[in-house]
Formats: sequence, structure tokens, C-alpha cells
Amino acid sequence: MDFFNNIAFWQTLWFLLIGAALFLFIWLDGFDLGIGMNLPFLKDEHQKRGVLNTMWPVWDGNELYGLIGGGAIFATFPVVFAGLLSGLYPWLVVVLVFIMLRPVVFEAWNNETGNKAFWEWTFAAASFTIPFVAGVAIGGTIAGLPYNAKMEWDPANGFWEVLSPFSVTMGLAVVSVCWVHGSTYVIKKMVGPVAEDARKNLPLQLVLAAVLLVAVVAQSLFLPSIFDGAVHPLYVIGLVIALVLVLGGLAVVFLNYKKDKETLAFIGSSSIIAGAFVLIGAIQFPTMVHSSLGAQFDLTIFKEGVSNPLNSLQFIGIAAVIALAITAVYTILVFRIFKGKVDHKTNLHY
Amino acid sequence: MDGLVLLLSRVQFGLEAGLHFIFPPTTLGLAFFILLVESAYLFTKKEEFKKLSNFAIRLLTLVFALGVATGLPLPFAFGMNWAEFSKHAGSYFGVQLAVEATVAFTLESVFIGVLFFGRDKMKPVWYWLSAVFVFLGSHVSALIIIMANSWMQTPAGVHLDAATGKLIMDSFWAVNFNPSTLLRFLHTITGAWMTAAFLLVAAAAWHFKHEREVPLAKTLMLWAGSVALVAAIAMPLIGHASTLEIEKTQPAKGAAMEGIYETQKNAPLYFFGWVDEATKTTSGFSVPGMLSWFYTFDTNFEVKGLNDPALLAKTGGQIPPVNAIFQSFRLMVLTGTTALGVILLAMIFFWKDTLIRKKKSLNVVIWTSVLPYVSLLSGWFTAEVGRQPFIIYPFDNYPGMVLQQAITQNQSEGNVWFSLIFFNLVYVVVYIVFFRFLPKMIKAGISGGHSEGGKA
Repeated sequence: MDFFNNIAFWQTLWFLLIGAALFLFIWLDGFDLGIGMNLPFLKDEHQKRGVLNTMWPVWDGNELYGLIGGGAIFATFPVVFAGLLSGLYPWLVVVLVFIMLRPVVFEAWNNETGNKAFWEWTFAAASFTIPFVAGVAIGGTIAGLPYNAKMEWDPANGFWEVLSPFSVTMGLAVVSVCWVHGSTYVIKKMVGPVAEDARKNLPLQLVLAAVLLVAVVAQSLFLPSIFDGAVHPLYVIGLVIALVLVLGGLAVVFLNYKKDKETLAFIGSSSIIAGAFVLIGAIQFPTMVHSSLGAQFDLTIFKEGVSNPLNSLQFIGIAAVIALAITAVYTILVFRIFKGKVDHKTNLHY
Repeated sequence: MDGLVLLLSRVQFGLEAGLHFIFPPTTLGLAFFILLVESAYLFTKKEEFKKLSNFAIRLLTLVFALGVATGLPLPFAFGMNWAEFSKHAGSYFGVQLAVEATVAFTLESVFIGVLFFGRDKMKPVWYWLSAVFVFLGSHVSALIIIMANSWMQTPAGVHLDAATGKLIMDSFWAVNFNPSTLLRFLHTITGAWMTAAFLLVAAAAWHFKHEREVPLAKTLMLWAGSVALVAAIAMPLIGHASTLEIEKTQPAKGAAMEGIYETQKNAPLYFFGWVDEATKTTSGFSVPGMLSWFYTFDTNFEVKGLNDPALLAKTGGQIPPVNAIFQSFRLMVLTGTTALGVILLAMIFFWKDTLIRKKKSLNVVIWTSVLPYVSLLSGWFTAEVGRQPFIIYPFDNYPGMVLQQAITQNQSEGNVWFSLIFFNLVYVVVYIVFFRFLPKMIKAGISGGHSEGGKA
């Protein structure tokens, strides 16, 4: 049981678990966000209700993984939590405002008897902004943010420091992948005109996602925060796995979206997201946030004072593993209850 | 440190937490009520219980969604506005919030989804079990959050490392079951059950008044009214036990709540009054000796006052705003006891079967549902303002952390204005939705038959 009292083991485990939680967030909530962007453009109330019915029972459970990801950073690397949230303050306000509005829109849209356009556009704006800013923030942590020796956002730098061609491309790439993922989910969950429209849109969405992903990887090759002259074996391995998952995923979606193999198409878009996360993890490990003020200021998980002490990491580690195992069981059971096709007539809401 | 940033951050967190705290207690109470009537339905198979449960579940959809919306910025605020607090206490506080999210909140969220959408898709006993999980999820969630909040009032089980000044946890058990946890949990949960029960009682009263679904409304009144009555009677007893605990572990807060400046035997209890903080005097209607007697059943018990250096040794001479919590404490008791009086009379008339014809009394019953909310908020205000100017109160081995040490360093005023304005705009939208659709849902009828359309 040497590893049990080795703090590096727990720090590494938590790096992976935080990545896993954020992956689950983009994978599960990604399709809600992807569908949500289309909401105002659907033809009539029946189509809109049908689409909302596909996510109604599951969206809040999906969104929760974003909260768990944030909570896990607080629980294990509080310095990173405090540094990122206080530094990215205005961006976080924008994302939180939209995350807060989503459940409000659900309730309001369902109970509203008058014009629902306001709620639908709010929902679409939320569905675009949440993945976009999430992508920009992830891009920022890779390209480097102005963290100083005190592990704080250096006050001489404004909040716009997170914006760079790389991070903005990353934001758009996350949006486009969610868009693809939403379409494969709609094809899987619905029949009729909405599913047919989703099928028609998929080739364009796939091309867009592929172009943006290539643009992200191409730019990453020129980032000083990642390439310091040496080629890291971890990055090479990660890149190979990621390429297989992403290219394989794009191909699987492309080959299957027209046929009745909707589940395969959904697995394909899931594989794209998984590949992207493998690549990000391989690039970043063991760094959580790169500093643009110098590599010595990078917030790495092994750095003195970044992570919580051993007893905290052990406690939350054991609690989280047990809780996540139980959660996985009942979440799968609940998804099985709601499996099958959905339309506007399905009386999901009382 | 920029004073305005601190002030704005405090205003923001107070508004967020206060406006959030309307919804979770309602959720807790509705979850309890749903479990109650679902159990009755499981054993008796009477349709009326299913209808009552569906009614409560419809209200729960709205209240839970708005609770999620209003609660979301709170955990993030610790990193955004209270970064130094997060770094200092993250080894406990961050762990606690993460455990809440993974253990309890997921359970609650997923099974609320099942309650909303799953009745026709599973066997009755599984559906009942979902109600159990929603009850457990929401209540364990409340316990974990109250543990964390109680630890900020009575931080047991920790010490500061002499060399680094870092917070070290000695025992998770002692931290979580600190001296104030269990009483504050009981106090809050009973308040939550009472609050939701009064809301359901108001719904029943509205149906009596408009002579809609009267037999069903009577069943609702019987069950919700009983919960409201029992909770309202238990409340002062649990609350009293809480004041005894505060007197022992947070004496400055306790003395401020009662407006006591001089250490004295035969200490008076003020029923109402005014504290002049400049002259350090309290005036108003009081009964001599009653406070001493309340604490120990002995009027000779010496109650420590705010002028007593011994009382303030722990806090380094710091005291909270006395009149504010003196008044909010009295507001909590006043609204709580008024609600108790109303529900007691209402149940007596209901028993005699005359309540449903008394239109004016029914109006009183309907509007009384506001009082438990006022009581909850003023109680929360008393507890949190009572620990000022500390974010973590001095206790045992822990010297305390004041707000100035907890705030994010170098945060710009513009950022905090931005969040204050935009978060509160969302809260305005939330409350517009709440006040538009909650009455609409109740008026749609207990069995939902009077819907004005717009539902699938």
C-alpha cells in the first residue's frame, strides 16, 4: 500500500478524475448544448417541444458534471480553484449567468402561454456561450495565463489576457463539436422532420468541426508553453491516441449518420470528444494552468502548496470513488428508463 | 485592501445566499411531503394520494429548478470573491462542497428527474423508492452544507500549523460534527418542513375559498396541516436548544441576540426593544430574570454581557452589529410564533369542519404562508451576521479568520460591479418566473385539470 500514502499518487489521480469530470460534462451536457443552439430555428412548437423532451429528464444530471469538475478542483487544488476563478472573473460571470438561466428557461418555456421567442433565444444564447467560454478558458490554461510568483493572476494584466487566436479557435471548436454531438443525439432520439433536418445539417457540421480541430492542433504546435525544444513522449502518445479517436469518430459519424445505425453515429461523436480530452490531458500533465509570465510560475499539480494535504486528498478520493460508482449505477438505470424515441406527444412533463 | 471591493463582495454573497435560501427549504419540505403521501399511496392504493403527490411534484419541478439556478454562483463565489478563504480552508471546505455535489446532489437531481417523468415507466415500489432517494439526497445535501456552515461558526477539529500558518485538519469527524452542527441541522430541517407545509396548506385553503376539488383539498389540508402544526410546535423547542448552544460556544453572538451588555445575574429577556450601540444600552419591554432562567432554569445564573472582557477574549474584543441581530432574532421568533398560532386555530376550525366556509380566515391562512419564509431568512441573517466580522469564528484551537483576510486580493471594482449587476438581473428573472408561475400552478388545481393550456 505504498501508493496510499504517496501524495503524488493522489495528485495524479485527481488530475485524471478532474479531466474525467470535465469530459463527462462536455460529453453529456454537450448534446443538450448542441441541440439548444438550434431551438429558435425549429419550425413549430411541436418540433421545439419534441427536442426539449429529448433532454428534459437528463439535462440537469448532465450539467452537474460541470459543477462536480469545479468542485473537485476546489477540493483538491484550492490554489488553482481560487486563482482561476478570481482571474477569469468576468468570463465566469457570463457563463454562470447563462448556466443559471437554463433551468429558468425550461420552466418558463413550459408554463408560458404567450410568446416564447424570448425564452428560446435566451436558451440558444446560453447553449452557444457556455461551451464557447469553456473552450476559451481551456485554451487559455494551455496557451498560458498571467500567473505570478504568488500563484495569482498578476494585477498588471487585464481579464482579456485569456483571449488569443488559439483560445478563441479552441472555443469555436468546442462549440462545433457540441453541435455535431447534438445532431447525432437528435437522430438517435427522434424520428420525423427534426431528425431529418439534423441528418441534412450533419455534413456541414462535421466539416466545420474538422477544420476547427485541425486549426487548434496546428496552432498548438507553435505554442511556447507546450514546446520548449524537447519532444515529450507523453505528448506523442497522447497525440496518437487522440488522432485515432478523433479521426475515427469523424469517420464513424460520417459513415453512419444517414443509415439506421444512429447509435454508432452517437458513439462516433462521443469518440471525437474523448479524443480531444486525451490530447488536452497529455499536453497539460502535470500542469493545470500554464503561466504566460514564465514556465517557473506554471501551476503544476506536484508544486509545493498547490494541492491539499494528503489526508484531504485521501478522504475526498475514497468518498468520490464510492460516490461515483454508485452514481454510475443509478444514472445508467435512469437512462435505461428513458431510452427509446421521443416526440412532442410524449407526455414527459405533467 | 480596497474597502469597496470587500463591501460589494459581501453584498453580493449575502444577496445570492439569501435569495437562494427561499428555494432549498421548500424543496426539502416538498420532498418530505412527497415521501409521506407516496408511502400512503403505496400502502392504500388510494388515487387521492397519487394526486396529492403529483401536485407536490409539479411544485417541486419549479422550486428545484429555481433553487439550482440561484444556488449555482455560490460555490464559485468562494473562488471568485473569497480566494484567500478558499486557499486557507480549501482542505476542508472544498472537500465538503465536492462531497455534497457527488454524494447528495447527484442523487437528488437524477431521481427528481425520475419523479417528474417516470411514474408510468416503472413499478409502484420502484417509484416509491425514487421518492425515498429524492428525500435522502436533498436531506443529506442539507446536512453536508450545514456541517460546512456550522464549522464556520464553531470550527472544531482543526489547528493552524505553527510554521506555515496553514489550516490542518485533525479529525473529519470533529470538523463535521462540530458543536453546532446537529442542532442547526434539526433547526433548519424543521423550518424547511414547516415552510413547505404552510405553502401546501395555503394551496388547500385557496381551493376551499374557490370551492374547487374540496374533498381532495381536505386531504391535503389534513396531511400538510398536520406536518405544519407538528413542525411549528417543535420549532421553538429546537430553537431554544440552539440558543443554549450559542450561549456556550459563541457567547458574543448570544449576548448580542439578547442585547445584554453588562454581565449580570437575574438577566432580563426583552420581548421587543431597541439597542443603542453608541451608549451600549438596551431599552424595551423585558421580564427580569427570564433570560437567566431560560438558560439554566435558575434566575441566579450569571449571563455574560458584551462589556465583559472575558466574553470577548476569544474574539479579540470584536463584536457583531448588535441591534441588527437583536431585531432579526426577534423577527424570526415573532413570525414563527404567529405562524404557529394561525395553523393551530386553522386546524381546530378544520377539525370542527367550519374552516372551509370562513372566507376571511382562509385568506389569513393563505397569506400566513409568507411568514415561515420571513422567519427562515431572519434566522439565517441572525446566525451569519452574528459571526461578524469573522468569516470563520474563533473557537477552540482556531484563532478565527476575519473577512479582510478572506477576500480575493487585487480584485478590480469593475469586476465585482459586473457580477453584482448581472447575477441580480438573473435573480430578478428567477423571481418573476417564480411569482408568475407558482400561483398559476396552484390555481391549475390539485389534479391539474384547470390548466389554461400550454402543456403537452
